[in-house]
Amino acid sequence: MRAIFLTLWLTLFPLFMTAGAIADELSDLQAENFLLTTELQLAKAGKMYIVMDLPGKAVIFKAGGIEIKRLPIEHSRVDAVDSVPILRKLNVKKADNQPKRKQVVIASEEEIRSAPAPAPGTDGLVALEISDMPELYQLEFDDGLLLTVKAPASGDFKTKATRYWQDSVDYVKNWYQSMHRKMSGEAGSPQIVMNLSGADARQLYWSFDQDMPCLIKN
Amino acid sequence: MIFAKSDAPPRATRNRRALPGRSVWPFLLLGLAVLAVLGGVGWAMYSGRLAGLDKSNFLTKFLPAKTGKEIQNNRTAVVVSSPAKARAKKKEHLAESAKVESRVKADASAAPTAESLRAENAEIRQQLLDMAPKGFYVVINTAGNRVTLHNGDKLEADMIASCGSGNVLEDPKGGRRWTFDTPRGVFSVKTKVVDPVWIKPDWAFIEEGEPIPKDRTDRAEPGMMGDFAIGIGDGYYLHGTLYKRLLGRNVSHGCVRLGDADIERLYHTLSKGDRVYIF
Repeated sequence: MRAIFLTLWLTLFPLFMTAGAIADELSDLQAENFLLTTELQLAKAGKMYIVMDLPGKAVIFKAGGIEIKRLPIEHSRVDAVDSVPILRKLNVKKADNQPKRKQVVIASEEEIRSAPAPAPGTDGLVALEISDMPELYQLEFDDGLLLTVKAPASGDFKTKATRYWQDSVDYVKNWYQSMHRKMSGEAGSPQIVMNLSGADARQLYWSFDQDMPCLIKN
Repeated sequence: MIFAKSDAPPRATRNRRALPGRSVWPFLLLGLAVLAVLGGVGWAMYSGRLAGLDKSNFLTKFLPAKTGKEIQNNRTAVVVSSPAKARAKKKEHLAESAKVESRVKADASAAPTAESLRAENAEIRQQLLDMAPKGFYVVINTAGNRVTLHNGDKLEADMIASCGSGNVLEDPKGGRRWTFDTPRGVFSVKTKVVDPVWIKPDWAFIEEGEPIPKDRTDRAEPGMMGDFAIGIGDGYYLHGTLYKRLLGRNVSHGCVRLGDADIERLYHTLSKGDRVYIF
């Protein structure tokens, strides 16, 4: 009997594995086909768009068949997101320290002349710059997908400690939610957590406009 | 006694000797039958997936989104309180499933194979490559205040620039509002100008606290835009600047300021229609 079971196992296992692998390959090819077809449409429309290639670990700004900018992803985690890429639109960018535009102060020549000199170490320049962009924020898409972008904690001890605490709370919360979902059978809300370097996280916040279409490959 | 003892072999040995007597063929046939059934099921699943019958992939992914959602909703909504309601719901669900099944069967005949998809993907990739500019184009990083000049795949130059400050100006009288951002997206070279004269817009006067002139000639300010300017549409230019020490910072009102040598190089390199990508 053992010999028969062994024979069955040895025969069926490769059969199912092969069938599964072929089906997965087809599924991947279909997803790639959708991605490429959409990219072609966007390129023909003369639009700039973003491809978040999670397996390829990169956020890529593209336009007209060329790569404009590539931001490497250090790590990513995907939860309850459909594997077929769909064209998404950014609804809102959420951050605790949202950058604020500066208001131009209209001053007479006399006021300008009598204005105090800029503080040492500053040039008195009033502008919204890349350094004003946050390193920890959330991007909410039109289909409800929530993408959290994180850069490694930087700054003074208090900032780092707050950030580690926040990350730990998030980790426990996510773990609890995923356990709860598994037990209750709920689908859960789609979310992605993406770790970028500080400069790249700020660049993405700066350049990702609401009218820029986005394709997420996972 | 000794003979008798040796004549009666231990039980285990007796069983082993008895095995060849039993036929293994029924087991082998049964095994083959199971193999055939499981193989058939496996093949049906596989070919079903090929034809788009797999519920997890096809229904939710490749049918129009609304239909996929409807099916999912119906599936999850089968659990209801009263038996009558449940029957009605089940009937509705079955009718919906039958509709979808017929659609899937209709689509199955046109289902793509791995080979055809691979070929199609390669073709699209080639089409995308063909769309890439073959000659010169410019990429502007407004966050880093950098302008790069490319010739096909080759990077020709990396230049320091000044892009929009992102500041906001409000007209205290008219209630108008301006945001000094460099626009982002795909543009092309529309005009090329030597010795450009800046025609100051209303905001330039408001910002300086000056009255807005009625006469257009009072708006002209030569020399402010350097020796060359390249127009990309909507009043935005790549041009020279008097404020060279501020290159690398976000200080402009939306135009892209460059050093004298860099704007001259761009002026002589770029032609009308060449692409300008701003992000």
